[in-house]
Amino acid sequence: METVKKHYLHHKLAKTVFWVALLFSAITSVLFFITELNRSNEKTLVMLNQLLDTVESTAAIAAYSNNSTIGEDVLKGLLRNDIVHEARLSSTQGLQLAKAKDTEVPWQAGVVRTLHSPFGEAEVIGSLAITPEAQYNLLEARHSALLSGLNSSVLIGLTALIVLLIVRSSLSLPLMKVSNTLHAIRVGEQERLGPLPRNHDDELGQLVEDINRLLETLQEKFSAEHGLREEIEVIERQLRNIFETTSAGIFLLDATGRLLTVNPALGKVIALPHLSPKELLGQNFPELVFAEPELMRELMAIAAGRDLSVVQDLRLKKRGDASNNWVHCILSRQTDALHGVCFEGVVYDITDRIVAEASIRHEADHDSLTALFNRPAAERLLAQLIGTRTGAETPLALFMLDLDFFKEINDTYGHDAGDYVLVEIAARLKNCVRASDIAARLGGDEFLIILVDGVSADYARQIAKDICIAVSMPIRISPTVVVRLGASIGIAINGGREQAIEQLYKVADQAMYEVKRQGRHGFAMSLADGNIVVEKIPING
Amino acid sequence: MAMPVPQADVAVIAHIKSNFSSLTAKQVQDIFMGRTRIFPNGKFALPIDQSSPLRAEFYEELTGRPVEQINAYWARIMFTGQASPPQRLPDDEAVLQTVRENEGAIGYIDKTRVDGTIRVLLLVQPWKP
Repeated sequence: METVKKHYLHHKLAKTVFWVALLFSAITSVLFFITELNRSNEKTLVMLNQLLDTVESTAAIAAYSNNSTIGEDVLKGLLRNDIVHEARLSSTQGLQLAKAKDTEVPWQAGVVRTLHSPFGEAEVIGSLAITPEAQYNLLEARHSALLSGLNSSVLIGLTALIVLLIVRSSLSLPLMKVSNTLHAIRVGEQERLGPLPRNHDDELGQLVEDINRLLETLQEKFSAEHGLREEIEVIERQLRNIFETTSAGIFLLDATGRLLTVNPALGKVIALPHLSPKELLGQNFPELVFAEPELMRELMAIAAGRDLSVVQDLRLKKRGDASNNWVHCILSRQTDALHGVCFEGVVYDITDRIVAEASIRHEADHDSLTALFNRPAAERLLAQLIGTRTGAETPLALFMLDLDFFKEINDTYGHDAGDYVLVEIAARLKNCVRASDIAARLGGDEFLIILVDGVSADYARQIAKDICIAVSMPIRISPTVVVRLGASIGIAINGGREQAIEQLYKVADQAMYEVKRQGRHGFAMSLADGNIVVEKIPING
Repeated sequence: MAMPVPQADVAVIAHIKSNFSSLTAKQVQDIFMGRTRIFPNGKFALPIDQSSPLRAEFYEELTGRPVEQINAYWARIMFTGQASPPQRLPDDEAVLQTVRENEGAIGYIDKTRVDGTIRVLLLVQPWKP
């Protein structure tokens, strides 16, 4: 603990009381001196007049008779008094007598008594003057003042001492104890002020209680705050850790889409791993990152308009060597005291998920062996096609295709050979139709082909012919075995008017069976009049 | 206590040849109380007192003071040795005699005793405060 030069309260009080008492004493002494001097002067005046009264008649006789002996007697008598410094007698007939003590005094106003004739009061015959002894007044007054000063000093000093002792014992000492204890207490410590047994019912006691209560509250607050701070530190550390180590990209955008804050993972997520977080700051995020920046800007606009966060899958700009190209973006508006309106966002790589989703959808819609559409997918697509069509559109054609002799190949060469044949046939079917057309395997050796848009009967017939030829080409199922298949195709044309799908199937089915009935490998189309025309394709070689 | 004094006027007299006709009461008083020893004309004055009852009347009427005070006054002066009271004669007759014979003499007598041999300078009235 530092050593502080302490100024004790009671010492201060003592000093103050002493000086004030001294001042008062001095003032009262001076006042007393002045009063006493005045009083003494008045007294002197009275005494002088009394003296004059005493000697007046004799002095008058001396003046009347011009008798210097009597005059000198009078003056001598006057000078015998302590208060008389000088006495002068003069008469109108020329008598001038003066007597004085040899003391040094400043000039002072004296008393002059006019002398009248002892036999005729009216006649002025001379005067008798006395000058008082100034030293006498002064000494008198000084003596009185000194006594009074001494008296008051002693009284005041005694009172001050008593007050001091009382203050010291009943106020200063307990206060010092409190102060010292308080000085030694550190904030948040368990220590408390000891009670003052003699002051429990006065202000000091109350002070101690209040201080203790304050210390109690302070300690509670302190420990609560300490705990809270630690908790916050832990959370902060965790959050910081998450921010630094998460694989998700975290960022803060200003209102115009510029990056204000980024975490280390962001660059990697947005397929810009060569840019450090520092280099990313200030860049326009939508323009820099996304294949369709307008989508991101739209997302920001939506987020700006509401309190909830908005989410969107976004495609990244194509970069040569980057494998990730899809991110999931969560964006929410924040109001920052520093930046005003800004956006807080998280992006993470969802390329794998998108790929997986695509593959799942593919698997669901496609025949696993031939990669053609499966039946449900084909039927769904067909329903969509029919459903969206209006009467004015060009017709579409539906081919039902059954392979000839497939069962025999399967039985003879085994399932593997059969599968191989199916894959080959599927590839050939695909080659025969446009990319926009639909080729599906309905199951076993049954296929469905839908030619969409602008299909005339001749065009359908041509495609059917191409398919028959393509299917009938030899297939080498092993180094030594080559097989040939045929195809029976039934064609139904949706002639520009809406027709039930079942109806189409039925028509195509009937046509296909007609081909099979007439010896296979060919195609048949049912005409408007209900007749079915079969065209047989010879299998070459 | 002073005896009741017969109310007789007192005449202040001087030598017949004195060249002034009258004196004021104060001038008379100064001469008799020893304050001055000369007349207003500069001549030496010789006051003559007397021991008769007229003396008390004279001084009382002249100064307004009882004669005892006048005696005390002279006693005090005499004590200093610097002066002495006027010479005292037994009665009016002796005073008249002395005044007649001395030119500077001044005395007082009962008014009824005044004659042509002397000059009356002042008739002393009873003193009025």
